[in-house]
Formats: sequence, C-alpha cells, structure tokens
Amino acid sequence: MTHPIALPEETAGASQVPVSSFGVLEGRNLVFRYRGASRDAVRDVSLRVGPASVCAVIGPNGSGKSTLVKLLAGSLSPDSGSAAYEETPLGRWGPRDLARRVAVVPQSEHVPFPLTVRSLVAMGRYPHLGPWRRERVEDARAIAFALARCGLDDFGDRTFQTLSGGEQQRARMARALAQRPKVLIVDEPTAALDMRYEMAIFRLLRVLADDDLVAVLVVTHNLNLATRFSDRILLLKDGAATAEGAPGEVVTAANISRAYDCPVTVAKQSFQEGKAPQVAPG
Amino acid sequence: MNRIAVLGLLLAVAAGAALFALGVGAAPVGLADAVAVVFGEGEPVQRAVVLDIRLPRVLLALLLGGALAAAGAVFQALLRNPLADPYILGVSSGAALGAVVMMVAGAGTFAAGVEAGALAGALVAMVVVLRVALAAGRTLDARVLLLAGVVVGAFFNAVILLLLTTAADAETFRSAIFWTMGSLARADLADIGGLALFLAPCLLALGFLSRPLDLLAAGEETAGYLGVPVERIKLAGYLVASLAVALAVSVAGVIGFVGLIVPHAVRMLWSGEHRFLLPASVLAGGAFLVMTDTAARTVAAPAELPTGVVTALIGVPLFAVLLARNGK
Repeated sequence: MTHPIALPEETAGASQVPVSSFGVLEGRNLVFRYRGASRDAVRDVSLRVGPASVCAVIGPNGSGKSTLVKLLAGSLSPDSGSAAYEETPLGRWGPRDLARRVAVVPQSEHVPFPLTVRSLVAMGRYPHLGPWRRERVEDARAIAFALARCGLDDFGDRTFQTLSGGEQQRARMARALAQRPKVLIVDEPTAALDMRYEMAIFRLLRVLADDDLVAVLVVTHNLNLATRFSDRILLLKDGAATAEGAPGEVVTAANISRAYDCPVTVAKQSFQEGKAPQVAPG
Repeated sequence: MNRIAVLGLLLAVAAGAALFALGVGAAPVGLADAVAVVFGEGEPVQRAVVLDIRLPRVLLALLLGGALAAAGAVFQALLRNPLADPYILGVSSGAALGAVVMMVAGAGTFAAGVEAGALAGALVAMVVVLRVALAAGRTLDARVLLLAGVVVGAFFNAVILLLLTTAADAETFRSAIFWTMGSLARADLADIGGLALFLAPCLLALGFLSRPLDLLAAGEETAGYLGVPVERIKLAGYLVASLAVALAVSVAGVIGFVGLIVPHAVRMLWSGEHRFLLPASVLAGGAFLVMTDTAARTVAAPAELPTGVVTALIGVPLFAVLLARNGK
C-alpha cells in the first residue's frame, strides 16, 4: 500500500525553478536558546527532509538533537530562522492540519491509565476526525494498516502497558503511521531496545520511505544503523552542524572522533543494502 | 461486555437505586407505596412523602454524584494524576470559606446565604488558582496547577480556622464542621431544577472534550503532535469541571470520595476511554451517591449521618476490594 502521490507538474525552464517543496519539511538557519541557558541549544542549523528519503541526525548527548526535532516538529519556535512544511511556516499550520502531514514519535511518554494497543494507535486518527466525528471505514483501515506495517496485527487487544519496550516503541510508531503522514519524525526510537528491535525499527523506517514515500527524519545514537539505512546524515556538536551529507561523507573517523571526543575507527563493511561505514570506538 | 450494554446496566442500577431510595425512610411509606406513587396513585400523605421529601433528595444525589464523578475523571486526566479528585484544585476550600464567612455573619447552616457564599468562594478559588498557576509561565503546567491548587486550598483552610477560632460561637462552629462533611438534606425541587439547568451544559461540554482527553492521557507533547490544541483543551476542561464542582459544593457541601473512586472503578472494571468513562461515571456516581445518601438518612434514623462520611465509609472498603482484585 502506498500513498497516492501527485507529483508537481514539470514547468518549462525547470532549471530556474527552485526544487519542489512538495512534502518537504525544511529548517533554515534555526537558532534556539532555552530560557536561562548560557549558550544556544541549536546554532544556525539548516535541514531539508523530502519524500522517499531517510535523514538521520546524529551527535553526542546534549548536542541539540532533540531540540532540533522539536523545532522541526513545531513544538518549539526558533529564536531566529524558520521551520516550514511545504514553504508554510509551522506556526501558520493549524494543529490538526499539521498533524495530518507531519507525525512525531517523541523520545518517551508515560501513559498513566491502561489502554489497548488499538486505542493507542487509533489516537493517530485524531487529526482526521477531530473531537466529534466517529471512526469511519477509512480510519479503521488506516489503523489496521499501521498495525500491520509495525508487525502488531495480533497485539490490538493487548494492554499497551504490558508490552515489552520494543513492542511499545512499535505501537507508538504505528500511531504515527495511522496519521498517514508525509513526514515522520522519530526521536531516538531505538533507545533501550536490543539489537534485533533496533534493526527492525530501522528496516521499518526504510520501508516507509521506499514503499510509502514518507520523508523520515530519525534522531539516533546508533551510528552503524544510521549509516546503513539513511540517505543523508546531519552530525551535530554543541548545537551546530559540523557535517552534513551522504553517510560515507559524514561518518568518517575524523568527523566522528572530533564530534564525540572519542577516538573511533571506521571500516567499510558491505551489506545487502550496499556499502556503509562501520564505526567502532578505539 | 459491550459498552452500550454496560451503560444500559448502569442506567438500570441508577434507576433501581432511585426507586429503592424513594421507598425507604423515616415515614412508614414502603417500596410498594413508592412504586404506586411513581405511577400516579397512592394516598395524599404517601404522595407528599415520596414526591416532596424523598424525590428531591434522590434527584439531587443523582445529579451531584454524576457531576462529581465526571469532574473527578476530567481532573485525573488533565492533571495526569490518579490521586486527583474534584476538590484537589482548591474549589472546595474556597466554597467552605465562603460558606463559613456567611455563617459567621449570621446565616444558618444551609440557608440560601450560605449557598451563595459557597458558590462565590468556589468561583474566587477557581480564578485565584488559575492566576497563580499562570503566573509561573504562559502555559498551564499540570504540576504547577496542582501545586497552586493545594497551596491556595491550604491558605483558604487556614483562613477558615482563623475565622472559626476567633469569630465563631459553638453553634456556628458545629454548623461549619457539618457543612464540610456534606449533606443533601436541604434539597428542594426548584433548587434542583436550577442546578440541573447549569450542570447539564457543563456535563455536555465535558463530553465534547472526551477525545482530546484520551490523547492528553498519552502526554501533552504527544497530544500536541496529534493535533490537539492542548492549552485550550486544558483551560476549557479545568474551567468547566471546576464550575460543575463549584455548583455541586455550593448546594451540598463537600461530599468526598465519589469523584475520586467512581472514575477509577469504571476504569478498572471496563474502560478508561472518555467517551465511555464520562457517561459511565455520571451514571455510576449518581447511583453510588443515591445509595450512600439513602444509607446516611436511614441507618441511624431518625438521626441523620453526614452523607460525605457515609460515602467514605462505604466507598473506601469497596474501592480497596477493587484495587486488590485488580492487582492480581
């Protein structure tokens, strides 16, 4: 199942026309400082995520990754610079209009009252239904699709709180998919997950980009999976972008060692998906 | 069980409890007589007892029990705190202060003056708590709101004690204590009509918040990403639920535990989705308060126990059983 996507018409003299903004989330020269902080959490960062691609944001703890995500998701407003979806600043989108296009899976959440997985995933339909409308056939279909995509077909009636960490993460991803977004932002989806689930999550992100033409932005600490599964990587240090580009250009021993203040070796390793650098400390 | 079936069952329980409550009391008018009166028969004396004395009280219990339980459910969702009850944000302390001021000024226990004072006090508390919570930042932070409610409530309670120890005689003191325990004794049909007129839109408005409330349970950040106008929903929910509580408290004093226990029981037994939780809490809260109020006025007849005491005496053990059962 894929989104029907209407491609913009080719215009004459296409070379002069700027690149299409269709389905594109873009941050330009974003700057943000928390109240009372002595330095900017994000310093002049620009980032563009377009359809059918996976962009990874990497960087050490405290480098501004989550702040950048919040700026690009519209939950923080930049002090200067702009964050826009399809050229319209995020603040100008209504909350539901934006949620129909951009889905976010935050780093963590605590659900205090018991809830079935299906109910959790059904929340993703809120932007399409609003406070009053009843669930329709297409909503049920979107929920079933999202559950299936995340390998949760048999989990609908389970209580969310009784799931393992990996299953909970997949349920939260499914909720985002139920929004039928054009852009999916995921903040550290594999924190606290074991190897198998880490792999499964990244494979899922790749499938969403390739098959459903979603623009995926993923924040991660797993450099190896980031290099293996993403098309572009942004390396942050102290709130600024120190490198940006294809995984092979960004993930070099020099870049990573400098950003993380930790000596690393980077080896070329071949995978089914192609060649990707392999990072190891020391 | 199907949710509609559960709501039907709760409706039947509430109706059954109401009918039973109409048939017991100090006067020798039994269940059969009450049924006869409901169907338009019965002797004038029986009609007077059932329709003029017992019916207003039963209706008031249904209304207040429902409103308190729904408000409790909403506060628990907004504050993301299972300990939240309708009084946690200081509305009851404000109402109590208003009532005590009127009593000290010379109004009797449940006179209209006390009622008006309580309502005014509750509304003042609402505004003060909101102002204090918003002074800390532009948005309503659940933790700050909770803290503001507790702090403002403590201040009002201190003023109440100050008033009682310096300005009140023994009779006023007794009245004030009795008021804070809650009672449905001063129910009359005209009052109830007026109360229903205000409470019904409140409950309806809370119903319209059900889906956003479901999403807020997953956290404000997540709810925002899903398209919920978080700040507006919180403000609306807080104001409407507080208003319902203010109305309830001004009429009946502080009746505790209904608003804390009933929503939890509904969640544990069936479901916590607000589209179901709110109506189910209204019905279950109404039924529960009718039953406890009936116990309050009959077990020690002709003396009457404060309803708020009986709700705790019956409600807490029931809830403990539910907790233990649910933990397994």
